Amino acid sequence: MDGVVDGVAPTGNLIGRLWARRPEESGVLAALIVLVAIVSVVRPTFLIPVILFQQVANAAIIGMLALGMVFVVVVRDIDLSVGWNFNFSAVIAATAMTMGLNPWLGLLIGVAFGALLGLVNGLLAVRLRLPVIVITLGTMSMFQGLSLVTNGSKAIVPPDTTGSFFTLVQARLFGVVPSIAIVFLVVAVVLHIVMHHTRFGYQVQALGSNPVAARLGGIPVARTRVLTLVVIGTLAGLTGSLFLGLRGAIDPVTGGEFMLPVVAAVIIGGTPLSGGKGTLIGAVIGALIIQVITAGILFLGVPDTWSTFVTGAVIILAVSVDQIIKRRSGGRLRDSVDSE
Amino acid sequence: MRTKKSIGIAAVVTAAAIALTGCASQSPSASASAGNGGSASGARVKIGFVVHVLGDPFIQQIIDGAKAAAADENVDLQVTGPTDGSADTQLKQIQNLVAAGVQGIATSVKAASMTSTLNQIVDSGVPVVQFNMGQKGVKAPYVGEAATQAGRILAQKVLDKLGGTSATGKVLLGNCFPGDPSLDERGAGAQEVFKTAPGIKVLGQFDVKVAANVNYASWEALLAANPDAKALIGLCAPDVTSLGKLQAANPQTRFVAGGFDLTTQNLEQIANGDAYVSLGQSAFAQGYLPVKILADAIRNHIDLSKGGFINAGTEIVTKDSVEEPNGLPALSFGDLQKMAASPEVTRKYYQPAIDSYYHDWQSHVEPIANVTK
Repeated sequence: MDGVVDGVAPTGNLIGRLWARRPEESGVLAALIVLVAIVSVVRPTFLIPVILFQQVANAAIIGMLALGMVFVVVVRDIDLSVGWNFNFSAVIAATAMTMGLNPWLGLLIGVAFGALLGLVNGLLAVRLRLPVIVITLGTMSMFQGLSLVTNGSKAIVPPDTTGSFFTLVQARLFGVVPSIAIVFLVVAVVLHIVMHHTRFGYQVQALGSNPVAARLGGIPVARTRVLTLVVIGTLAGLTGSLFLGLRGAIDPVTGGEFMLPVVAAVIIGGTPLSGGKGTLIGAVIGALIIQVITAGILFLGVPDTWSTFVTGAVIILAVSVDQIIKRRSGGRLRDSVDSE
Repeated sequence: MRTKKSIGIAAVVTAAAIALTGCASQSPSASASAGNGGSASGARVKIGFVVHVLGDPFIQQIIDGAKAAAADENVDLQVTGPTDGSADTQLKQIQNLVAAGVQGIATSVKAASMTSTLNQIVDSGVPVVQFNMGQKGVKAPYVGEAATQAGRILAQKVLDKLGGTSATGKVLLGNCFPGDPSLDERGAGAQEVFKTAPGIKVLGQFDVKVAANVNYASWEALLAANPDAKALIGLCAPDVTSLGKLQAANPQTRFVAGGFDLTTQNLEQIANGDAYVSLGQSAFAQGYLPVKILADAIRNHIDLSKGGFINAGTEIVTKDSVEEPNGLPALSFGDLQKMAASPEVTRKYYQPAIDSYYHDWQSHVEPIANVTK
């Protein structure tokens, strides 16, 4: 009920009402703010706008892939092939550019190719009636292998990286805000609207909440599952092409290591692995938390031998803050991996 | 109340952990103002040292060299690198180090996609030096081995052991990281030498993976498929260890095992007689020289953007002989094993090179093309 929160101000109080209506992501947002504050107190240069927005840009690739992964996780699955889809799509986009096609057309080809790979995953999962995690265990190696065959185990460098595509992707608005950061945030907003204000989004959440009820209720289960994989595939293609624009090249193995941080961003952001609901804004914040931790370790001068331990410890703290705030709300029950 | 206490405890513990480790970054090994004989004069400079993967014994030898230079040269050295070998993570770490205020960056450059951002960093006024792995398009000198020549040397040692150009039989070539330019160059050099022996058939390069257990399993499968192979050659650090263990597990199948890098485990296999030869690429030099070069460049305004190649040298090690480059003193195999286990012993051994070759690095800059000559 509105305003009824254990141990907080009475219902009629304005602050109490605002507290009761706070977004679900407030916990992780608080964790992010705390992390930024800790780093900034020790190193105030961290708050310089160009440096802060660079963190958003650095989180953008993992973040956009995490946005796609939210859709998959909501329907109780995980796409293990996301990193190699990213790589393969970037390789295809780069190959198109080296063949003389306009880089903007290369971008479209990369996006379409990523969507196609996602469609392959979806059709295999539905036709073979296997969980996506099982299918993508195989397709991740297939995508990797085909990518290596295509690139000949060498980096692909488009011949001309001075065109408008590369210039725009590498540009900074007002010299401060990287354009890829803007793309990241725009994609997040669009997908948030798709998840929470479109029929497709409702179908995704319903399917994840109760697959049997969803099927009995007339939701096209197979089509919905396939479409979630097309969404993440499209984002893999988009991020692969944008990476190419940002870095001017794609290497044979870039992206293979992305799966773990992508899933981590989703989970840290508050989307439960048990499915049924998901938060795109949370995934954005989760990706930013990972990036701030990585940057903060360097700004604070943490020795290399300790950096991995500190990364893990801070992630646990960030997730703990979110969990504790959520439990205090007394509102929606939170699914968790360990049942209570 | 219990909830508030939980948050408070968690926050204090984590903040303490971060603060303690941040204080630990001011430890003597990283921030000593003077070492054992380097040029410690000049204002203290801050340099970022970024490896392509943490937790690898060979990379740790490079880091030890860098820390020795930092102690000698009055450098505040910040070492970092990804744990999963991700080039993208490595590049972001470099960007963050620059944002945090380092005056120079020493980094391995394993991916072409790092080139444009590194050049932007150079253009912004922060000098860069590449080590161990480099890209020709980066506006920065490269400290490493002449990879193609190293491949030739290894192959020649193995071929001589097999009987020279009249030798016959199969040779298996393994690459733990297909697509890596340095490894490809080693492989190309090796293939070039084996072509001089018409009776030798080279199979591969096979992808034998990096992780120790998978690397061993890959070689095991290759040997099972080719039990008559006369030699197994790896292009990466974990290979000699795997090949030595494989030889020990298959005494009935004698093959010549050769590879790269002088880690403790690799030397153990040579000492056992289960591996024949391993080539070192002077890990200490690859760590020491970049820091030395950057410190000199920052203090004396030397322009490093013209690039170039500084050969760290190739070490050739069998059980019976150790050949060291760059005028370093003669060494026994036992001495080499002690060095592999001790950064302090290594540091002392390299003093002659520090006083001459490394001190005078500017006169040893070669054209970058010599890396693959």
